[in-house]
Amino acid sequence: MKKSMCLLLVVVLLTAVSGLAVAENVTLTLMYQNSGQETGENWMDDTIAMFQELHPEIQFELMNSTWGDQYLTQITTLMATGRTPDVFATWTSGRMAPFVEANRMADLRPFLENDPEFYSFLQEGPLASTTFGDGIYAIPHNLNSELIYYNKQVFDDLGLDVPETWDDFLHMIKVTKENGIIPIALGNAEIWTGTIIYMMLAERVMGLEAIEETMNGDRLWTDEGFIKTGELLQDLMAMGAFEANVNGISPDEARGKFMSGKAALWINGSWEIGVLNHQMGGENYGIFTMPEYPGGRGSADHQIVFADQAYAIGANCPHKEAAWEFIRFMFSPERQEALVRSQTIPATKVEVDPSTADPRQVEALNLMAGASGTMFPWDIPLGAFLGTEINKSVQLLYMGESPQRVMEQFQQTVNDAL
Amino acid sequence: MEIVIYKAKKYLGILLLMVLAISVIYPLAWTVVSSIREPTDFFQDPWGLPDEFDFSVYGKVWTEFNVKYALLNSFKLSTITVCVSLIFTLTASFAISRMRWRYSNVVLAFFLAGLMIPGHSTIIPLYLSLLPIIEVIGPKNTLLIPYIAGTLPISIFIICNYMQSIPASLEEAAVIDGCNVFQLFYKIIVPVSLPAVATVTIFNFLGVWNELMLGLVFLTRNVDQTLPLAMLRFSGRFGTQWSETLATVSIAVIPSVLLYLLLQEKLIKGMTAGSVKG
Amino acid sequence: MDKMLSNKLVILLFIAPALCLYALVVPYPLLKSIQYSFYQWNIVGVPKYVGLKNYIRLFTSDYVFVTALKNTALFTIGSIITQIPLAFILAVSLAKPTRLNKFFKSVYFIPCTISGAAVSLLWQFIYHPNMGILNSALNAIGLGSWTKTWLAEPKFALWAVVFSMAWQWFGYHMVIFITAMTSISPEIFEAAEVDGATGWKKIWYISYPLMKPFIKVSMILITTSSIKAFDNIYVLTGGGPANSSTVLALHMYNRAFRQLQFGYGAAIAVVLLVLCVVLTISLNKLFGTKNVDY
Repeated sequence: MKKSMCLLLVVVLLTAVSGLAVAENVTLTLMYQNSGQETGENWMDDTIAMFQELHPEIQFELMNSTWGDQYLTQITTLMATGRTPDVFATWTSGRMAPFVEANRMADLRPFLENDPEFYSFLQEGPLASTTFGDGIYAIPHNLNSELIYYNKQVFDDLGLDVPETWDDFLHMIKVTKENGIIPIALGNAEIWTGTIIYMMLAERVMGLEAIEETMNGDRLWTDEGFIKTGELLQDLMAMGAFEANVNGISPDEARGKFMSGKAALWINGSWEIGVLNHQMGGENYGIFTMPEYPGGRGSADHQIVFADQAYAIGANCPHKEAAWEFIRFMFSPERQEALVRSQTIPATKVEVDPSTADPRQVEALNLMAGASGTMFPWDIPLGAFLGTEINKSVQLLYMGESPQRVMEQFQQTVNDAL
Repeated sequence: MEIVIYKAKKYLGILLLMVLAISVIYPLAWTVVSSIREPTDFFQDPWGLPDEFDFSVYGKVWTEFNVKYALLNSFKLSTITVCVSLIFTLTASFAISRMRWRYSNVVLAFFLAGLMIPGHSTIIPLYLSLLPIIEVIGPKNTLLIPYIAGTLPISIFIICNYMQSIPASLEEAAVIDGCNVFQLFYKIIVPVSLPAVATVTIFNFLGVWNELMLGLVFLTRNVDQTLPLAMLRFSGRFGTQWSETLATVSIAVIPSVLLYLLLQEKLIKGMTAGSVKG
Repeated sequence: MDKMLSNKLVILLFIAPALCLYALVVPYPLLKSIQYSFYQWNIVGVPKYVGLKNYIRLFTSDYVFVTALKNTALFTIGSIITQIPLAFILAVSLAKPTRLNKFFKSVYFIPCTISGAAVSLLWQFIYHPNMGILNSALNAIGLGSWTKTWLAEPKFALWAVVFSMAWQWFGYHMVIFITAMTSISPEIFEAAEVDGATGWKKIWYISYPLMKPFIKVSMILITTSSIKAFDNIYVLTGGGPANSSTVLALHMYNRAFRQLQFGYGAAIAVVLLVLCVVLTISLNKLFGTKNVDY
C-alpha cells in the first residue's frame, strides 16, 4: 500500500515537473497592417520566424492581409464584437482612444513594471501616446516626423541653398517657379498630405503652446493664428508654390515629379526615406525643416513627430503571457536593430550606429533628437472623425475658400461632435 | 443602288459591333497576357505584346500571398451558397407560385423588398446578431448565412416567374397519374424549371464569387480570404503593384467567364422565360 | 388537386426554410440600423441616444452630403443614358438568332460576370495618365491635347466611373431586351409591314411600346443599383478628388467605418433606403403597370 502510494506520488510529481518544463501549445492570433509591399514587412516575417525557433510551442494565426481603411474596418468590427485578436497593431492617441475606452485592450503596465530593464528601453515620448489614465495599452512601434525633402539636382542647377529664413524660402519658390519647375510637389488626393504644410506653417505662426491649447479645447479653431496661417498658405498658392489642381494629384504622382526633378520640394513623412532611397538614390535629395516666420511664435526647431503604429494585447486574450513574450521579442534590441536596417525609425532607445545606418535616416533622427519641442499631426489626437474633418477643411483652403469661413465651419463641426 | 446602300449599312453595322466586341475582349485578354509578362518589359510598353512569358508572379501570389486559399475559399463559399440557396428557392417558389394560399403575394413582396436594402449599413448589426453562431462555427462558415439569405430575393423572383409560366394542365396530368404534392414538386415542376435554375445558379455563383464588403468584415484571417479581397491588397501606400494585381484578377476572372460560357445558353433561356415578365 | 395544393402544413414546410433564414438575417439588422440612426455611436463604445440630431446635421450642415446626393443623381442618370439606349440598339440589331449575333451576344455579356473590384482595377489602368490605353489611343490618333488625368480631375472622375460601369453592364440590359424582342410575335411585324411601316418606324411604334415593361425593369435595376453603388467608385476614385465623385453609399461608408460615426452613417443609409423605395414606386407609376397588348 505504502509502496503504491509512493509510486503515485512520484508519478504526480513527475507530471507536474514535466508540465512545467514543456509548456502547453498555444496559438496566438496576430493582426497587423500589411500592403504586401512595404520595406518593414520582411522585418515582421523574420521576427515571427525567429520567435518561433525560440518558442516552438507558440503558434501564430495570421491576419495580415489588409492595410489602411480596410484594416480599420476589420479591426473595428472585431473590437465592436469583442472578438479582438491576441496581439494586434493599433493607431495611437486619439485614434486609439475609442478602443481603450471600450476596454478592448489589456493594460500592459503590470508587465512593464515587472520588467524594468525592458521598460527603460522604450522611449517615454512615444509611450505617452499610448498611455491613458494609469494604464499603458500598447507599445509604440515606429517614430515618424514630417519633413521637407529637396531635390539636390534642382537646387544645384538653379544655384539655390537650403532655405534658412522665410525670405530664403520665398526666394526659392520664386526662382524655381521662374525656371518652370514646380516649387512644391503636393499630391492632395490623399487629403492628409496637404495638411502637413498647413501644420508646419501654423506652428511657425502660432507656436506650439497655442496649438496644444486648441487640441485640449482651451482655444478655438477660429483663432486668428489659424486664419492667418490659411491666408499664408493661400499667399503661397498665389505665388505659384503648388500646381493648379493639387487636390486631384495623387501622392505617387507628386513624388514622381519630385524625384524626376520636375518639382523642387516634396513635403511628407520620414517613412518616405525608404522609397526615396530605393527609387531616387539617397545622395540625390536632402532634408530640411520649415524656416521661422517673421513675427511668429514658433521655432525652426519645433517638429511634427509621432508614433502612429503600436502593438497591443487584446483584453480577452487567453494567453497574455505568451502574447507579452512575443511583444518583448519584437522590441528586443536585436529585432530593433533589424528594424533600423529596414529603414524604419524605432520608438525604442536602440543604438543607431551612424557609420552603418542610412545617412538620410540618421539625418532625420538627428533632426528629431535636436527638436526643442514636438507636436503630433493633428489628425491623430483629434481621432478618426475630427481628424478627417480637419484634413477636409484644409483641402477647402487649397480650393480657395476663405480661411475665416473654413475655420468657422470646422469649429462648428467640433462643437457638434461634442 | 438600294442594294449597295443596304449592304454598306449592313457591313458598317457589323464593323461597329466588331469594334464594340474588341473593346470588351481586349482589356480582358490584356489582363491575362500582361500578368505573365516581365514586369520591366510591361512598364516600358504596357499595351504591347509579350516577348517572353514569365509565370513567376503566379507562383508568388499563389504561395506568398495566400491566393491558393482565396481561390479555394471563394469556390467553397460560392458552391455551397448556390446549392443551399437552390433548395430553399425552389421550395419557396413552388409554395408561392403553385400552391394556393392567401398571403403568397405578401411573402413574395417581403422577399423582394430585400433588393432595396443598402447592404453596408447593416453589416455591423448583422455581425452582432450572428455573433453566437460565429463563436461556434467560426466566421467563414457563418458568412454562408448572409450569403444564402442575400441570394434569395432575386432567385425567388426569377424562379417564381418561371414557375408561374408553367401551364396548369401539366400539373393536372401529373395528379391524375397519382403524384402527391412532393412528387409533383420534384418530378414535374423542378425538372421543367431547369433553365431558370441555370440562370439563378450562375447569378448566385457570381454574386458570391465577386462579393467584397461582407467578406472584408467577416474574413480577417489570412487563410479565410476570398478572391475579391486578395485582388485589392496590392493597391497600397506606395501605389499599385500591377503584376501581382493582374495575376490575381486573372485567377478570379477566368473561372467566372468559363462558367458563364458553359451555361450561357441555359442562362439566356432562363432569363427569357422568367426574370423579366414585367 | 385544389385541396392538395392548399394544404397548410405542406405550404409551411415548403416556405419555412427560406422564410426563416431570410427573416433571421435581413429585417433585424435593418431595423437595428434604423434604430442606430438616432444614436451617436463609434461602433466600439456605448451608443448614446441623440434623437434627430444626425438627420438635422445631415440636412443642414453636411456639405459632403449635398455633393453626394447630387453625384448620386448624376451617376444614376448617367448610367441610364449610357446603358439603356446602347442596350436597346444592340438588342434590335442582334434579335435575329444568327451565328454571328449569338457570338456578339455572348461577348457583350462577359463583363457582367466579373466583379466590380476587378473591373475597376482594370479601368484604373485604362485611365492611367501616362501608361493608360485611353491617353495612348488619343495620342495615336492625333488628339494628344484631349488627354487627361481622368480620375484626378473633378470634372471627369465621376463620368469616368459611369463609363466603366456602362462597359460592365450594357450587355446585361441588352440580354433583357433581346429576351423581350423574342417574345414579340413576328406576325405583328408582318402586319405592320403590310401597313407600310419600315426600319425605325417599326422599332418606334411596335418594338418600343411592347418593350416598355422590360425597359422599366432595366430602369429600376439601374436606379436601385446606382443609388447603392459602392464597389466601383471605392476602388476607382475613392470618391475623390475633393469629393467630386463621392456618392451616398460611399459617404455612408466613410462616416460609419472610416470616421467611426456609425449612427450618422446609419442615418445616411436610411435616406438611401427611402430614395430606393420612392424611385422604384415612381418609376413603376411613370411607366404604367399595364402591359401593352396588341
